[in-house]
Amino acid sequence: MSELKVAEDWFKSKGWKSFEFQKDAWRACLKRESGLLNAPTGSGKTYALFAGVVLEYLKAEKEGKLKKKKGLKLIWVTPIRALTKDIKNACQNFCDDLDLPWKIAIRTGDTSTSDRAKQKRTPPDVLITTPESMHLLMASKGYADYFGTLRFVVADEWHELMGSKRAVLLELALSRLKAIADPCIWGISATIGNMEQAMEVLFGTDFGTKNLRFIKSEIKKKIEILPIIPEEIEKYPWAGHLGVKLAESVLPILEKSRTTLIFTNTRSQAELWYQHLLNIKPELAGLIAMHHGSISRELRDWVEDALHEGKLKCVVCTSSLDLGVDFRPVETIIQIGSPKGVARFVQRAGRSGHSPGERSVIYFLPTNALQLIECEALKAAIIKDDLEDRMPYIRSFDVLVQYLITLAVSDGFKPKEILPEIKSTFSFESISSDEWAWALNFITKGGSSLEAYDEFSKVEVMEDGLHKVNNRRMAMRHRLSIGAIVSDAMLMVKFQSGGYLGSIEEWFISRLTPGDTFWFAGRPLELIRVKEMTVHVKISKSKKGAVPSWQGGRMPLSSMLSENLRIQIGKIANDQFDSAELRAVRPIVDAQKSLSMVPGTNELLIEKLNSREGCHIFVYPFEGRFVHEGLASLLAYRLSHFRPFSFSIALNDYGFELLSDQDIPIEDGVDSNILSLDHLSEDIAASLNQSEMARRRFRDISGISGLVFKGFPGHYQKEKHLQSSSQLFFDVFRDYEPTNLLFKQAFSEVMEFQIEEVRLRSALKRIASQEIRITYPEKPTPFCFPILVDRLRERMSSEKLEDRIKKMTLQLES
Amino acid sequence: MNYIIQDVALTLLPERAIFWKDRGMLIVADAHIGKVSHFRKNGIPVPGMAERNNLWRLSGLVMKTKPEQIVFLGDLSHSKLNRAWDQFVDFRAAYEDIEMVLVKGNHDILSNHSFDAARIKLVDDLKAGPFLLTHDREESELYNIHGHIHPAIRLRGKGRQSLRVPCYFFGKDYGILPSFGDFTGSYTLKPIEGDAVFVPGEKETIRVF
Repeated sequence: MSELKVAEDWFKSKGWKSFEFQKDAWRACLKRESGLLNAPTGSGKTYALFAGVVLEYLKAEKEGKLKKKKGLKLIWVTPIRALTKDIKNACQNFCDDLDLPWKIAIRTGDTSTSDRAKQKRTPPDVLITTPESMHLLMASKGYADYFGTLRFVVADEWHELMGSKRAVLLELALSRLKAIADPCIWGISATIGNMEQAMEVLFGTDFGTKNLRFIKSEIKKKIEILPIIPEEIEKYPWAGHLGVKLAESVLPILEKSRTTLIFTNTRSQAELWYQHLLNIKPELAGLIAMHHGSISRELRDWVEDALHEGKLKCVVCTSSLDLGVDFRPVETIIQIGSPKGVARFVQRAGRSGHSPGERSVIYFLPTNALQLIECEALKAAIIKDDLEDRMPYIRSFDVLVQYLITLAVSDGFKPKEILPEIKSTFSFESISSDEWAWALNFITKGGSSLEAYDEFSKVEVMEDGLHKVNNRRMAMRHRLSIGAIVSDAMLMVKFQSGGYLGSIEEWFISRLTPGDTFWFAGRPLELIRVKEMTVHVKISKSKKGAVPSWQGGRMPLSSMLSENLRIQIGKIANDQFDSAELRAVRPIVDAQKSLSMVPGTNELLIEKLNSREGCHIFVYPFEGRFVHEGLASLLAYRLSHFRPFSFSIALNDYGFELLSDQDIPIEDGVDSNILSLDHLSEDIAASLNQSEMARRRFRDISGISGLVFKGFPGHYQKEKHLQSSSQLFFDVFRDYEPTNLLFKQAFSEVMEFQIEEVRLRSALKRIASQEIRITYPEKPTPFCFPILVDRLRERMSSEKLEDRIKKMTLQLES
Repeated sequence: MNYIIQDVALTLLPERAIFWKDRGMLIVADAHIGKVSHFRKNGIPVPGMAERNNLWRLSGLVMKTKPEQIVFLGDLSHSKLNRAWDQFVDFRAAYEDIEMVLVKGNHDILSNHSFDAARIKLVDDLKAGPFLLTHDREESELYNIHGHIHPAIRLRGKGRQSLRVPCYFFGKDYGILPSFGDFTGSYTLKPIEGDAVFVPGEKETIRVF
């Protein structure tokens, strides 16, 4: 009898047919192999692995190979809490039908303290959790026993984790679990550009030494992309990221489809769209809902349930609904504004059309006229299967420091025993003995303090070499700050009459005064008061109010999308308007051409323009925000060789602007080869010191490494004398301890993730072969306008502080 | 930079302290001695050198101005007793001729005994000429000079330049000192007509409003 029979029979009883990739996974699990499963959302990937885990257990039980029947058998790690419930239901169904009495539990930040305590006393058989919660478990005493019976770990949506420091958290946790219980490890990932590296990151040094399986599902969905083209493109704004002007044209789409998901890029945009749709079509009340990460778990649960049950006509959401199980009633997707990446767009499209063979339908709604070109670029990229790479974080010392303290908080660790585990991860494979010594010194002695009578205390080194945190308050503070997602201080939003609505960033609330109205979770709320970490509100009668803007909405255009965008720009430069989108955007292109020009693929366009504000230089490499940020600071730095300048820098995915109060000699710059590759590394390093990029990166680093402790929503920070900001830390490290690895990490992260040195280099190489065209438009062009009006600017100055202050004297804000 | 207020000439030093030359009085607000050590003691590794520098800067200032009296406008110390305070006591002993007065601030939670032992005179406020010196603002007939707020100002210039810097801030009936300590934050103020604002630069103090 085939060992797969139990699972196959179950599939049959459900009226489903098992796919080949599922059977492959079952066989692999039975052989206790590890590997990566490459399968999209909604393909039955959960059962591919969960059934495999069960089959293997039943087999071991039958063969009498189980030492212990009780205890944790499987950890299922997922990047977002929203998914845990659905995974639990899927697993529970399978166990129930098989009469397998497994207890399946969820542990996330939402799990109550009493449930956590219960889980600790009697471990469940299956634990569905997040990387952060795994670390929290490792921060509690006796964790090794708890994990001792583990047979499998599954890292779900691994592609999603991989591009963040949460992957580093998971890598470290896995290294510990391997030493404790040697479980089989499986990743589940959607298709990304660097599939093989995804495996390498998950398995660390096991990759290439151990036999690992790669299983790919054969399912591929067809995607239909439909642009929403503004009727009068001449009147459609050149800049903007809201797109509500086109809201009317969304209504017939909602009408036609059973349920529609409207994806926005930011939470504030979701709030605005929700509000606006209700305004123009009040009949939607009760049929439309909103879903984003700042809304309370209860509200989101309600939305998700209503989606399943087909009660909703439309949900306005953010990436919070990117992942997860299918909502069968969803027939149509609308993407508002640029999705910034091909993979994200494909993922979102995949949220509709679920039956095998069915097409996914996604509408693209441009929020400004030029985005229509992006739509065409997206189509081309999808046809070519140009999916982005996910760049893994390496050598994240902030996460390492946090992990070491986590171990010290629970049972303590011995450096000699733990170092080989750490070196087995992808992130820290290259850690040197000096760096390791630094990390230990940092947590035991507080860095390079040479003072004889320094009172630093945190991790203590016991006589047997055990590194341990003995102070209970310190341990508690550490547990509260475990994780790799750093947000601004968050406040809870509650009705005065009771009822939790969600959380909101402190800086937004700080701008309001009691009596003010703001929109949150789709309702107009009146601020009553802020007390400790809670915002008390009541429903406001006013329909007008501020919309909170959550930060983090400025994702860069991916390299894949940029590349395809440049091809489209090249086409319109040659008057090759060969699609509906490009034809629609023609009037704007003509305006650009008459004021300035559209660069061909072998040209780089620079526009120079004077205004009351000073001299503006616009450069258009079409490389995405991040590369532009690097190019802009490089150019600013090199221009400062002519004379000291103060620049303000703005950018978008198409180009960047340098603005100065004095004339910018860009012509001289071009003549002296200012965009050359010579001395590139030195010049980038020097320009970084003048810009604010590293400082911004340090925000996350100081939070993760425990320098800045902000507490959590609802946890009022009592230790007022320990409050500080990452800014102050950045300054003291710069002034007194610039060799600190956390400080240096800020700069290397800028190089790798912000500037993306590799991309910057290849951009400059391309530019070197291009002809530079400088135009002098009399008024702002369609290309430069969106950049010109951007208020969020970076500043960079090579002038002396006193000189800058003197210049600004008279223009003090009133 | 000398600024004449209430007919008294005050020197607004770029080191973020005021020197009242006629009286030989050095006024220092919000030094937060021991803040760095307090963090370190609680397991947060701020570079210890930052603490040292506060005292070095203070010593430098004493040598430069040679005051007869130093008035600390509150928050001289940051939190509970720690070894940084011992270093401050050493500093104090090195200048035993100088009278040192502390107008008590909200962070000054050390016992009175600690201040007595360091020969720091403790007061709730201090009247000096036309001024009432306090930690936080107080209603008074006199012109109130205080600290506590750690004032800063946002300057804007042509070419959309913008800069946020600590400042001296003088209103109609009060004046505020910038915080002296390193590793202390600041709060942005907006001046109105009639206010006077000065920014301490690297070598000189500049009037900006």
